[in-house]
Amino acid sequence: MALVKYILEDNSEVTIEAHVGQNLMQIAIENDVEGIEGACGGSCMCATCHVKVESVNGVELEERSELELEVLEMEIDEVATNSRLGCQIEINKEIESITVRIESIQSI
Amino acid sequence: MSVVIIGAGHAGTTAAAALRKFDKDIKISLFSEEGSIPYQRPPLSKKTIFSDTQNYDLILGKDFYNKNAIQLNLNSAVKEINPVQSYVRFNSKEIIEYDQLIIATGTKGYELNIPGGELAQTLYSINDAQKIAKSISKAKKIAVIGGGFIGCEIASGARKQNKEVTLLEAGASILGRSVAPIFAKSVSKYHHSQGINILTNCKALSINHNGIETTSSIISADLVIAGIGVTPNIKLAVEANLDIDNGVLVNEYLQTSNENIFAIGDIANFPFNSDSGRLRLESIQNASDQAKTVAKNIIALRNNQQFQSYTPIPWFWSDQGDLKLQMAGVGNLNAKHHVLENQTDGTLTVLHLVEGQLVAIDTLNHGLNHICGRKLLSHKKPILIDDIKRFKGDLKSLVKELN
Repeated sequence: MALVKYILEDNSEVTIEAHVGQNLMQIAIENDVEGIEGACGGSCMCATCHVKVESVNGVELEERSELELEVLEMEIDEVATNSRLGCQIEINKEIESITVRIESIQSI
Repeated sequence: MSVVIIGAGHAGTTAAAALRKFDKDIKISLFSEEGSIPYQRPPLSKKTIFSDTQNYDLILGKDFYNKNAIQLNLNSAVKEINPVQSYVRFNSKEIIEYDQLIIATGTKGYELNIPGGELAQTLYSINDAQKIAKSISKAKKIAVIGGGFIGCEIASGARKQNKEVTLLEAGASILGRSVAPIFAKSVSKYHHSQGINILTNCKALSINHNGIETTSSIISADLVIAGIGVTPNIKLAVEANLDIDNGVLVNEYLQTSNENIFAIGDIANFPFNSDSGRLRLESIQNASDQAKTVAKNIIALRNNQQFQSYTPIPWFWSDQGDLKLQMAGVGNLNAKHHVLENQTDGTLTVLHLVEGQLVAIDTLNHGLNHICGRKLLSHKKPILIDDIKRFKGDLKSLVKELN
């Protein structure tokens, strides 16, 4: 169990208790968090689940894979050092809580 | 103002969400023949059939529709479109009027027209997937008819569960219509190495409870699954007198021959720089991107603004055993195929070239080249084979130079 806090585009916040094994894209869709689409079903082929990681408690996240970074660079105008694809961040036992900011979906 | 959407697959559902994003007040009604909240189809042939729980992914959260005032009507088959009086009719004679209509009725599987064809199970819906999952768990010998993406995905999944699997393909090669021949050969070799018995140039003649009689031999099987392709659901569009040709004909704005009726997703035959000048695609990318374009254009139509053209770089993927196949662009009959040199073991990248110019790219277990390929295909200027050769197969460096 981990607490996932999404900060939406209008700066409102949604906090969800998430299970180990789920990723931030799936969690957002299941809980109607606005602004996350996941068009490719989590195959790391689009950037419609783009988030910026604001903070993580419990453990440091693994670095972005080369592929994830390439997808971000192709789809996002300005990739920040904390830009991530939600589908590539999976909740594990170590993560206690994580806060991410949702960026507007670029393709709409 | 009211928009009616027929079909709640990826295209119809995404269109509803996009419309709501652009306009808080439009009345949006989404109609589905199925009883399930709209779900993603690609995982059905992958994780749904082969997971213990047959779990599946929703396209949008189950509360999204209520929260966003999208009227989702399940088990609601539209029986008629009346383009003159702008309404759709249901079984119950109930009608709903629209200002704009989006047809997103998708496809249906071809029927296997041979004696015993009804014994073959087919996959289109979540119900089909759950049924096939149950049958596979009980079966020992499985025959899959059709070596397209769905057939290959099911065959490789079943083989991973240690089933005896035979894959029948009527053509000369599996994936024959979809990827470069050398690419298909490599995929075929992998499936063979995993123990799948692949029979090409082999047609099923009849099916009974013991297996399949084919043009080459009799194959014993206690379960037959057919994945022999799909055909667009155009009945409503035909009866509404819309222009039809391999799907519903739309212009670059996804508008049918009636200006207030749009068609998107698997059924839409749109203008494209291809052999025939047109293209109809069955993919998530196409469904999703057309949905967003149509939402923009419906808003534009109301506000007398400029329409947006649909000009995609098509992409598609398939998971088969340990292989991830990713395709970008559209090949054609005149294309020459070039295998990218200097690649790591276990990966393959094949370029499709027309007159030396890159038109499509197939990658096997190489997401990076797929992404680079999409970048190259979306570049303003044509990418020539000489450009690629200069970088000795390193697509990423070429992308960097172009930026």
